[in-house]
Amino acid sequence: MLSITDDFIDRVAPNPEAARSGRGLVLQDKFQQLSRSADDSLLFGYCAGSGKQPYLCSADFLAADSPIFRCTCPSRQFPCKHSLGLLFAVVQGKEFSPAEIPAELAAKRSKSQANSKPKNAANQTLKKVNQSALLKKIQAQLSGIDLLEKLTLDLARLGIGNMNARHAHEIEEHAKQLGNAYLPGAQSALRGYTRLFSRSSNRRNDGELTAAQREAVYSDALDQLGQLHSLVKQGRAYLQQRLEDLSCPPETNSAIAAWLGHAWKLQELKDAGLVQEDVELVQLAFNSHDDAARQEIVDTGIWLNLNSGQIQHTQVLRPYKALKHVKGDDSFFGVAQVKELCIYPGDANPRVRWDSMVERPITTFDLDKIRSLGRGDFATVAKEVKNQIKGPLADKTPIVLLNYKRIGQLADQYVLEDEASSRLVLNDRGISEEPPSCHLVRFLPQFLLENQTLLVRFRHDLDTRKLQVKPLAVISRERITRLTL
Amino acid sequence: MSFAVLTQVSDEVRRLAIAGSVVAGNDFRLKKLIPPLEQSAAKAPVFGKVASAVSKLVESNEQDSAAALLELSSLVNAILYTQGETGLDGELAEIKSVNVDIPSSQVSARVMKPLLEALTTTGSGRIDIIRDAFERGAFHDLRLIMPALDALDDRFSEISEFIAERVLPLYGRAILPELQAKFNCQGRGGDVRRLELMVRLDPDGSRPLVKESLETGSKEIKVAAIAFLNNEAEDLPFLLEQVRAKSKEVRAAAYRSLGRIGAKDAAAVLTAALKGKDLEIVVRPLQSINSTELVTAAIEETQAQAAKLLARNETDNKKLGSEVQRLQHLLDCFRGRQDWLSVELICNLFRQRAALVEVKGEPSGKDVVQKLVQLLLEGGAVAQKELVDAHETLSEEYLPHAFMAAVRSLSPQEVLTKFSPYVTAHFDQKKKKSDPVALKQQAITELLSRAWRWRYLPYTDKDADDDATLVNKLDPRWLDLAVQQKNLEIVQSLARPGHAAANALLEEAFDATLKKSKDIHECAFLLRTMARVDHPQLTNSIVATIKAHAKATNAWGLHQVLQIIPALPVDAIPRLEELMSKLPEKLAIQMLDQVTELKLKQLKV
Repeated sequence: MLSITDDFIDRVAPNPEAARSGRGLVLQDKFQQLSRSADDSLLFGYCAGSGKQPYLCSADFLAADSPIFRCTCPSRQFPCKHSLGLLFAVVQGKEFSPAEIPAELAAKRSKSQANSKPKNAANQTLKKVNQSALLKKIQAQLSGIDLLEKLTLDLARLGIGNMNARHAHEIEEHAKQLGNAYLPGAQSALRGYTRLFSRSSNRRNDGELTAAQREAVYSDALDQLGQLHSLVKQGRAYLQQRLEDLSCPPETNSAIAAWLGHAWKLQELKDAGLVQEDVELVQLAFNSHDDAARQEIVDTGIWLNLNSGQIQHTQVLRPYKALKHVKGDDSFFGVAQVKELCIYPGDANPRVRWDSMVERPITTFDLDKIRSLGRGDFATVAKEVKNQIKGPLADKTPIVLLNYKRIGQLADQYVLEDEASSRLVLNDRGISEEPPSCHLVRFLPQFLLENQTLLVRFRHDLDTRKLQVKPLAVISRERITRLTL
Repeated sequence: MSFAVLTQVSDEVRRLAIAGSVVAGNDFRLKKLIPPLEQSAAKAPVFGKVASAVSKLVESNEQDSAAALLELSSLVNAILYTQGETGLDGELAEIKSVNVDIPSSQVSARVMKPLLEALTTTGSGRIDIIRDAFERGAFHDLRLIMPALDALDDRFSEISEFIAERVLPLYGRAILPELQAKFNCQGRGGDVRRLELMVRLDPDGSRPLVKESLETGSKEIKVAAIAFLNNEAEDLPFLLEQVRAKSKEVRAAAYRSLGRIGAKDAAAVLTAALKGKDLEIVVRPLQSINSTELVTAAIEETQAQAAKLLARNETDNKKLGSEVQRLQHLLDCFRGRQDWLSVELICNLFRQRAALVEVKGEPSGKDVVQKLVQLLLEGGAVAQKELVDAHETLSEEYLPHAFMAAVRSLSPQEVLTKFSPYVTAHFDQKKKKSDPVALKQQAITELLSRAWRWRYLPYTDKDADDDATLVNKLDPRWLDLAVQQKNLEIVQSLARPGHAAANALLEEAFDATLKKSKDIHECAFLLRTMARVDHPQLTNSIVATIKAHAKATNAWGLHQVLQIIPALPVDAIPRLEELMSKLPEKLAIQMLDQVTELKLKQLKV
């Protein structure tokens, strides 16, 4: 069993209130029975609640790095206050007597054990897909794609200049049908376009954008219309291909499945071979932003994979409707040692996820390793970035780790220069995920302005036709200095 | 490749996308671009693709124009994405790094996010988040510099002042350029704080900005800037000019600076103001300036004003009020002065108190006597002796001042001898609201119990200090006296650990209060005193109070009682835990933090 401490409980608790309530249960002596399995891998107890029968809650440490919490209470918080109370009982030195594992817990335990066991060749076959259900789903998706095409073409006919908040609202109402057609990704993409014209901030009382605000969004709006058009084309081709061969798994060579809203399961990624073993990752940046188009709070961690040198990202999506029940992510300052890293299909900075990890402190050796993985040839990097972002459905703001010779100033702009005197201009414009960071360059100590490593986010500005970068973090031999949140 | 033509195509596509694809058919501007595109296609085939997409669009009808337009737009954008301009030509200058002089630390997102919201949004509860973050050193993070600078304009002045006084000085001179860049001479609150901060961080370097503010600043900025003038040779002419300004605030600021400079010319101006309408605003500068000439002038003016009032020629109440007010302002000029002439003046006027209290008006002569008593109390030993010696003749209104003067100037035993008779005096209970003996006893009791009464809610730091000093300077026999008299208010104020008689009285009083009282506040007062003196029955009393009021609705009163729990001895923990298991869940959770704090105390022990 893990050593259970207050810190551990705070980390696993969904929020501070849940931890507090859990502690309260112990002090109120609400636990009628505290027991442990013979091998100490399972703690369980009965806790009095508002119902007649006490709740059976447990903490299962069979897999020490990813404990499983179970409870018979109806709470949607996970772990609930009763399971947290059980952990607090351990911290407070309450006695857990050895006991037989209750039958219902034993059954759940053996089920999760069976699920977690690596599948042998015999049972490596994929879970049997309900072909008729899948067929119906794909057909519904194709109808959704038809609707998206109709809406996109209508919008192009109408003209960006004639769009207003009322039209945007009407389109959003139609977009709801895309959700019903199993196309949440396409729905978000469409909403991303309409949101340009109905932003809740910076607008006049009647909800309309001012002339100047409209002018500023035209280029982005046209690009997003093109994106929707490509989504229709590629999405239809992909779905028709799947319709022809229903046994074919979701596409892993491109992010089209995610664009259409496919929620990848870890097992699917593992089955597709998108797994890397024994990986170490360091988080270089973190941001938490409100994505109105997706109607979610998105917590994004930007990580450097120390094994592959690739910049990857983690995402915790917290839908507005479930904000209370989904635990937000936090920034991470150590090194994450991951046994099995699942990598989503994607381009430059794919999304990654893991079941469990062990943290260790970051060392100078790690910082040296990070710096050695930076790219020093800006011209080559820029060329690669341009080739990547030209795809209509590509990530338009890829993140790259760069080694620079110096950061200088030209007029009122900060410029990054490499050994070969190739330059990149620092600019915050158009990136809403993170707060502005360029202004922080002049607060950096002198030694960080030369021969260091910088994590940057590229962005091509369609109006000025310039490819510029936004600084996210400076990595020196001493520390990682984050410039954004 | 000729990208000029591609840029033209992009501009035309943008124009058509704004207008709507229905107008794209036969668009002559686009048509004109087909030949050059085809020409370029020989060198770069991609231009051929663009030419054919353009042709498709111009040949389209209303129905298929949208798809053709989006095809063309995607193609052109894809090419333009590959042509993004990256570098910047020119000589690269070195960045003037301002190198913030703080140990760099990185705050976790879970701390940073609410802190940023507190600094950049509105609403209640933000100051606590900011203070807490400051105490934890969270502001030692580069990312918080700009939000903190912006918070100087926060509408909630407590936040903007905290940021200006505590947070921003952390960053030192590094923030000067940002402060200068955002400083607006015509501004108000936030800009006043910016100017003050700039002068604080760089007094010499900000001098030109101060001068500019004096010339072109708004009234608020001008007032702030005048406060920074302290160079006699350079600033005196300007200040002498500003005492004639239209704005009262500007004149007041100019007088204050003149008072600080203390030049000969300044004394002359202040003397003139003493006799004029600006008396009210020169009081503070006059308190600080050391000029015999000025003090003499002030004494003469005060004596004349007092004589005028005592002559009683004026009968109009309104005019009398303004004359009395003028005398009060003049008396204020002597606050803090202990020179012989000033003390003599105050003592002489105090001796005429019987005549002064007869002066009517609003304010009246009584207010003048109140001021004189206050000045004597704050004066030196001579002034205090004058007040103490007069104690027998003073009414209950001024008696506490005499008591305080005695505490400051006499030994504890002398104070006890002189003033204990007021506490032990007997009077007719039926006449306690009118009998001077009862009123004087009440006045002394209130003075002695003020420290206890306000111990948990200090009204000002200075008063709290005064009260603590008063209690510490008293003879210990005051407590015996109060117990003997069963004066619970004085007992609660002076009670000290280990005083058996006081403990017995407190226990008796608590039992009686708990029995008959429906209001938990009354118990809370007694419990706090018991906690302060480590009363042996404190745990029992707390448990009894919580039990009795567990179902009551007075959440604030209960909260006050729970706050006492961490002061209990650690052996109270089992009893409290036993009690929690029987309490309603909400109250038990409320009690949890205090019990945890007590447990931490146990761990430390």
